[in-house]
Amino acid sequence: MGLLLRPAPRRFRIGLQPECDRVPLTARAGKCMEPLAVMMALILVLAAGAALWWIARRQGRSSGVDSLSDDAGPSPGVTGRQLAAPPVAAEREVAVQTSSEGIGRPLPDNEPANRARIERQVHVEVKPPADSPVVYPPLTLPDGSGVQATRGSQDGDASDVVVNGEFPVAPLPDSLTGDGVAIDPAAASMHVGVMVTAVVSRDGPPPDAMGALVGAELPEAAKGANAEADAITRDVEPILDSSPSAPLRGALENAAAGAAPSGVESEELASGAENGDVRVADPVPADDAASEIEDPGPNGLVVPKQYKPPRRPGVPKPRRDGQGSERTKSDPRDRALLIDVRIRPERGGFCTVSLLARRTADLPDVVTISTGGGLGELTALQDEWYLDVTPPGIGQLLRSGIVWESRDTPGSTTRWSLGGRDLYVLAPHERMSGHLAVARLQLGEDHVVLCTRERLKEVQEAIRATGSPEGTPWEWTGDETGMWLVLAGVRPELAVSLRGPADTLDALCPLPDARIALQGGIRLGRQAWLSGFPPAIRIVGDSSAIGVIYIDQHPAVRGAGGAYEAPGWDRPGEHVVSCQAGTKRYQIMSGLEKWEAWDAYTWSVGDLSTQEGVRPAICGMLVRPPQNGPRDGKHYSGPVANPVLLGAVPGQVYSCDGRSDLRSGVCSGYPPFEPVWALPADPLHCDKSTRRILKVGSQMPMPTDSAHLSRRQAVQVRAWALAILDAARKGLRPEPDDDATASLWTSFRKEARAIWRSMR
Amino acid sequence: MSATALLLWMSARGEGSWEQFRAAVEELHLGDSSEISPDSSADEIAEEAGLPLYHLLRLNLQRLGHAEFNAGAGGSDWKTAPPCMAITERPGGWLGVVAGARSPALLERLMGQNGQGHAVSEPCSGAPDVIRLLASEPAVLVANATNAGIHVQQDTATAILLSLPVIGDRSVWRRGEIPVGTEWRIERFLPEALGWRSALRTEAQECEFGLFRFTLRYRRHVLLCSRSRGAFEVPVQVGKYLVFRRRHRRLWRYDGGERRLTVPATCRPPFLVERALIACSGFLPSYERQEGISGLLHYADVPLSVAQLACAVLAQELR
Repeated sequence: MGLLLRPAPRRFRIGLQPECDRVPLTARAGKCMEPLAVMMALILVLAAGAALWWIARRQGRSSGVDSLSDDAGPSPGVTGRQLAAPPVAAEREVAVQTSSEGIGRPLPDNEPANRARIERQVHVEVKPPADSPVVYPPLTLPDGSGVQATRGSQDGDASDVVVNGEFPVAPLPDSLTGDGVAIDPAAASMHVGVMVTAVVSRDGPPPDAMGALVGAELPEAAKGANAEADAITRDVEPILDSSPSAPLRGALENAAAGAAPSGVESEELASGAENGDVRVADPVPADDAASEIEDPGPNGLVVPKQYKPPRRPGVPKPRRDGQGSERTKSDPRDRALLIDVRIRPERGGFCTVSLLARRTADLPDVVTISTGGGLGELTALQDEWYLDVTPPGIGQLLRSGIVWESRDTPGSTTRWSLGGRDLYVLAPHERMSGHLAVARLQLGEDHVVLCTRERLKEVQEAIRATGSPEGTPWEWTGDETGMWLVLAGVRPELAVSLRGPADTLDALCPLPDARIALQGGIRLGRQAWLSGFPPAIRIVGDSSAIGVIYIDQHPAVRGAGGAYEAPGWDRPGEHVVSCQAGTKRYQIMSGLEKWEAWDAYTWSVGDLSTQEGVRPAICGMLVRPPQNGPRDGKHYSGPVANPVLLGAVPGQVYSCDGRSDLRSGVCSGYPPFEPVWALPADPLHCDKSTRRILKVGSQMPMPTDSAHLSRRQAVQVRAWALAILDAARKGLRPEPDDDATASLWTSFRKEARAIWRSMR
Repeated sequence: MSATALLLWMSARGEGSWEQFRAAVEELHLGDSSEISPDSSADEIAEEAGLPLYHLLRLNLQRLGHAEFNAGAGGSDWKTAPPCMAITERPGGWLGVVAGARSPALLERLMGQNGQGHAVSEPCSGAPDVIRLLASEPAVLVANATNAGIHVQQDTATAILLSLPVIGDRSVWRRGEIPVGTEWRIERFLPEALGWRSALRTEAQECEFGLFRFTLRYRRHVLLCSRSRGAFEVPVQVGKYLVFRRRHRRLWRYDGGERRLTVPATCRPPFLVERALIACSGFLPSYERQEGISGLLHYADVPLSVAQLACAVLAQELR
């Protein structure tokens, strides 16, 4: 059901200095507002506070400010996301209307029309589940106003389809019914995200209202598929979304803490929301970054807030499904990102706990962050995360919460946050080793639970209720507080209903949902696996009600390891897995089969190459000849006393280089032929008692016709023959000293003699 | 998954970025693998140096000649080397070690060959499985490699070592500058203690000859400082051996009976020298912990000639 704020007609004017253009309004309020504008802003703040108060009341909380950004508890299969501030125009009028209407109520006809130059767009984002086929859902507003999300673009592949449409809302539909998103019961777990945002611009047409609710009807094609509404967000006014300056935020808080503003019929709102279809809620109920950064305190410091669990049993968006990138529609100047908690096992029942800061593509590899304890640095681990860190006092930080800030990018602030809590549930992650914190237990999965000692009893009871073993304790020596306990091997088998509002033990209540998971294997691309190493196809969660699983339209059977298989499921090509829990595609492909060698290290001790061209180069275990020499030469090394190499073909002569700097007694070279003999450099003047003719090959000499040689060839052939004849004349003995070697040497002598005669 | 899966992934991709490599290490869950962690001597060495897992894997892949990283990677952050059979003579026969890229099809060709020189895959802690072939004649190994379609490198250890400059070769030294600023942590390498101790900037500027390490967060420079010649940037292991050479410290021991070369773990040879030593057996060195002092690395199956050649490159003498 949709949430609609229909603001009462209050009007103010905000004048911004030119240099304040495109700067968050709230961040500049004190500096740029004119007195009248300030007054109007306060009115606005009160109005906004009323809205916040209503939301807070709706959520059964006393803190109105928190309630806006915090998880209000998604309806089944429906979650929402708060968008951050759109750009603010240099000068504008903004009409803010507080609503006297509840969810499901149309706008009254007498509502004031536009009062600001605001160009508004409705941004509709539909995110089917990871396992659904490519869908292209037509989205319609249920009010029949004609606003239809027929445009869109597909981004990603089959498992990550985002269809975006931007639609002018002029006129804004009057009747946006409470059923903002029509959720088909059969499609109750589909990812459907509807986001509404107001884009304020200098020259835009005036709007007729600030609040908007857009509904999205699931496409017929999607009905019956596994569906989850992922995010329904509204952005009523930039001010509400921006990080407010302290005075404005204070006003907001005051307003929120006060009595219900007039015109807000909270009962109606509540009754509308009870239907539970759509509400302003956190799309990542567990620990969305935006919800975990508490307001700036009096000193302007941002402090972490305590984690508040989801109140309603939405299907949690699995952050470990490979789609974990932050969907940041907010102003890039002020970003909120998550800090993940990771536990990794070590030997002997020990483990480490660390923090992983999320990363987006536009963030630098290294960022300086300010923490409560001073400055630090985050270094990129990969595209989506920075390297683990284990800050001092991590035990206390896990309990109290964490906020880090970076202002490395000029004009931009990035915040990372983790809501403090006394219970963490961690599960294996498809993209990261170890276990990462998740919203709650999932049936059939192996989990690690991190909880404080004081809650151990409750936690153990809750774990027992899931049919899981209580867990094996792991020792975490890095906990300076000694308050934390780590329980590994928690594997729930039974679904458990949630306990109640804001109960952190809800994290130990697995829901009876199911999804297709492609686990393991060697992944080459987003949905492509290496042939021979396909993923294991599993159903995670309650698989009892998902019916038959098909792989490429063949009924799949469960193999020995619990993975599903069907004929040809692991053959190269495209494959589709489908069942009532959804659909997933994957591809099996071959990788490279040819690898070229290159000169990785030339005359180098492992650093930069030097003397390229004249020295041999190393590539892996391969040693390549110098570029200036024959490239088809193969390495030869032998005693430095025998540097002259002869091949089987007359004319094949090569002289190896010795390494005088090494004093190793070894010489080496890259003869472009297969050497048969290694001779002393000057056979006639060597010591025949110690020097030998070394046999290094076994080929017989190949006769050559010396009459048809070029001059150069003739010189080579003559040198070949002369070397053999000189060695023979000196009486050097071939080695090894056996008949075969002697016979081979004799045949070479004969050939050399014949050549010598023919060339005289 | 094991490091073998990582090598298969790298081979399938050919080359890539450092981020992709680290992501693959994470995604393949190598940190969770019992094949890497428990009782892994290599892991202990890494722990001593405080290296994360992906660095350990990177170093091992590099030492084993499976892939090249950074300066040697031909413009990428990493690149898999072409598959190659590294042949080394050993008592009673010849050993072929398969290094470089591998694919399922290549493995099938290699492992599917019967008769002489049948390939055997053996697990190696902290590294991909080692594929080795034993034969009485090198021609058998060459034939197997040719049938499988991979390169052959004869006398691998010697060939590599003969392609390296000696550590004192000035042509490979790069002139450097002592970093400016008081925030740098400065340490000097002590050849007697085989370790680093804090030092002052003036010490680096005025010393006769010494190896200094300058660290500022993630930045690190290792400089060979000499009052008369200035500062030179050298790989840290090269720098250590230069200091040993000057002090005439003999660190290497060779056991001819077992054909085993032993080196203090803190004085690990530069990786290309180590690659040559590893080519003799196909395995990473084993680690022997010693109480209170640096552990020892044992390189197996190293012929005396190779040990001598490696010593010559590093200006060491065998004990």
